[in-house]
Amino acid sequence: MAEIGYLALLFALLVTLYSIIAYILGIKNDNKRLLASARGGVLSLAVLTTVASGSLVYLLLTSDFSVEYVAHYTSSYLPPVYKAAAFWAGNAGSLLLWLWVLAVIAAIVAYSRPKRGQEEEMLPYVSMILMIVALFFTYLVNFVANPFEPAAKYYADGYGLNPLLQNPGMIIHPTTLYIGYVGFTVPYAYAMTALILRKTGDAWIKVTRRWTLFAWLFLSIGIIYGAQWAYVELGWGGYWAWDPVENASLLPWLTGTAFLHSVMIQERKGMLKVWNIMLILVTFLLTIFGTFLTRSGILQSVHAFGDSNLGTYFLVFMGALLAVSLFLALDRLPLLRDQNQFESVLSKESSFLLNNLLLVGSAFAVFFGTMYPLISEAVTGDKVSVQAPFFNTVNVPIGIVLVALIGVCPLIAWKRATLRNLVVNFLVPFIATVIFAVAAYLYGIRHLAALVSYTVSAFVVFTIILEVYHGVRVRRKMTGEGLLTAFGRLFTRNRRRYGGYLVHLAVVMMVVGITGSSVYKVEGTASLDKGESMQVGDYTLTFDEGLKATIEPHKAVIYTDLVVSKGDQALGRLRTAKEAHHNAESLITEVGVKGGLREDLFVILAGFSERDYRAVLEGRPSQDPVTFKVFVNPLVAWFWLGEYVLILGTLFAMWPGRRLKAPVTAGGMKR
Amino acid sequence: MSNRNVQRLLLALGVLLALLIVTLPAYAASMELRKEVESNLICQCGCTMVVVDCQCEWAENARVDIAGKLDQGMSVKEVIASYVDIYGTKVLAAPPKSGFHWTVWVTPFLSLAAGGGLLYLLLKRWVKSYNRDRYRKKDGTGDSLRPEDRVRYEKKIEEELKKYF
Repeated sequence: MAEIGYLALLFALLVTLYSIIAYILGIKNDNKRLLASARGGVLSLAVLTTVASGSLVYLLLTSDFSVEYVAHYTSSYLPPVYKAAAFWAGNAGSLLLWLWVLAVIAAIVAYSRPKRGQEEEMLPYVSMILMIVALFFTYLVNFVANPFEPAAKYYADGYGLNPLLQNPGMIIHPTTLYIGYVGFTVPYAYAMTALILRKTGDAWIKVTRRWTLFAWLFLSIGIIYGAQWAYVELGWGGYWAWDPVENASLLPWLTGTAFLHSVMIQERKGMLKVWNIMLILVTFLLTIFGTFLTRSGILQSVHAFGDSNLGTYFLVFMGALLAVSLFLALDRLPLLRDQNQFESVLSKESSFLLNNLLLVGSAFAVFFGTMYPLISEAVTGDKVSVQAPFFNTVNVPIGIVLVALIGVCPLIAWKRATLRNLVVNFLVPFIATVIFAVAAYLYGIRHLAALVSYTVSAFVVFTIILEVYHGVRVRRKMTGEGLLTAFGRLFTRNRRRYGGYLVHLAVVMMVVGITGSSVYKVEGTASLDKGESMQVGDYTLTFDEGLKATIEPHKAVIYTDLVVSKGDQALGRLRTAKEAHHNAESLITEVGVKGGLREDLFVILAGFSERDYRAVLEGRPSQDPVTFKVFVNPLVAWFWLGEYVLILGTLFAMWPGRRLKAPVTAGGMKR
Repeated sequence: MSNRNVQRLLLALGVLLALLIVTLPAYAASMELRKEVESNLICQCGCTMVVVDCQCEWAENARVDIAGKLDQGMSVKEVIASYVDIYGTKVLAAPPKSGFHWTVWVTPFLSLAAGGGLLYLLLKRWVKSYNRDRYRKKDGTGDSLRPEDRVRYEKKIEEELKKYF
């Protein structure tokens, strides 16, 4: 089977090369047959990478340790689901996953039914660019990190999967993240095609709207599932540590979000053409940058694949892409100059620009902070770390203004906002927000950052409600529809707009979750003897059974089931554990989480004596005190719930709307 | 229980309460200080996490050491400085606000301010360009909307309205 995978990758390289050459010659000579053949090459790449991926999954599931990758990342005892997930556990497999996703997307694009005109003309160029990107990854999986390399020595059993990766989150997080990363290649390819063809209007933006949303959605899911994995698996009580690799995934999300908003200005007013080209270029490069950061080992990270020479390849690839893309943009600059005209400084358009400034500013701050250890070492020789204290100081104020802007934007008129319509539009939400702020203060929210964050969030919710209310009222007045019909049709006839509002609501839910779990987190640490209890917040935890152990062939689990109660209410038992894996130097924490909408009780088995460790493994009772670290994380569930609303909103916005029938001309001909 | 015993019990409870009132805020404050120090130091086990979040042995020892130093009367700054003396600036969770390291703190805000200024200037220019064209059209010196364009735009508005409702 390894041979099949090996050959599939080799043929993949050949068909990719062939397809690129066929596209170039086909475009040059306007040879339709050659272009069709090149398109066949794209499909072949998708088939071959599917065969290679299938081979790798088969090898992993059957524990074929004659293959180095299988031996390095799995072992015979691993559950099948994690054997399959080991596909992307290492460099070679994750690059194959990237290539596979790219090949499938390229085939979907190549075989999509274009509307006549510009879109049809663009397609061969777009496919060619996608294949050029694919060529880079095909080269890597063939010659630099081939997952089908035979094992260098005999393995009776594999080394096994990193225990931290043995979590359901690691099945969803990398795949969705990669689909998001790769998805941005499509709008990038269309943007470059628009430059090559000198068709710098908004055709490329209209064609790629759904692809951009698709990529953005998957990137969002990937980031949030990564946070969920960190929450339950890294065992430190939080979900976002501003780690370099986490930051690398946030960067294209920030610029991608800016792009999603700024294209609306180009669609409406034909402006910001250069800006949009630059934004999608930067977003695409940042997806590659994330991969470079994970694989180069230039920065320390809990997520990194470790040092490898792959970083150099990515650096060269990024440099080449940047050079070619910038050359194209500069060469076509006169075509990108638009008739920039704004009726007023104060308008919805300008609020979109401010949104872009803040998103890109935040992305720059994250990028600068992430890279600063390297800059500092190069300039001063000082090794420094840049962690949460810096990122929170810089990004929290930007984030709060951004959220406020989510509320302001829908209420400002397009073209020109006057003082009168500002007062009319803002009066109700402003009064409601002031009442909310006072009520929140009286309720006991006195922490300034929390009060500001919740007030701003409430403002956004009020504006969304007001927008929906106005929409329903106008609709009922114009059409005479009933309340529910008007409400339903308001959403379904304006999917993009109201899908966007749902996403904004999701962002607010996440902000509520982040604020609650950051500001009002309660924690406690205690060393308990058997029978003793500890109190954290309203919770009482009793260590009544001592430590226990289960021993499996591949790991030993030391655990205890604490009795949990809240006030007079018994909440049952909560297990927290430490696992000793043969392939991990230190013990792995398995946290206990009892969650609800209001708060999570998060328990870590922080430490126990060496004597007890040996005793429980030998079946004897533990005797020494055991240390527990307990967090009460308020509202954290709202962060996860926000994710589902975000998915719902994005899908709603992407879903094809009702198509209008083409108007019939006097002669009865459809135009 | 005799009155005397009740008095003794009440006295004991009073003393306990007084002790709690005196010591609890101090304890809470000391916990806050510890957390502040731990949040500003990076664990040196290689995990790249801040001390307050890490569960490794190095972090556990550091927590005990930090608590001890604070109990001895050292300030937060002094405790942090004592770690910088041993491990260098790499032990800090964020670069110090001194010398070249100021760049990391001010660059994001300066960039935003510069971006905001540039945006404002561009907007002013675009508004000016719009107004200039509008006045030209009023004077009759500029291009007015052609009749076929007007029909096209009206049709488009009609279609948009249909789509909306």
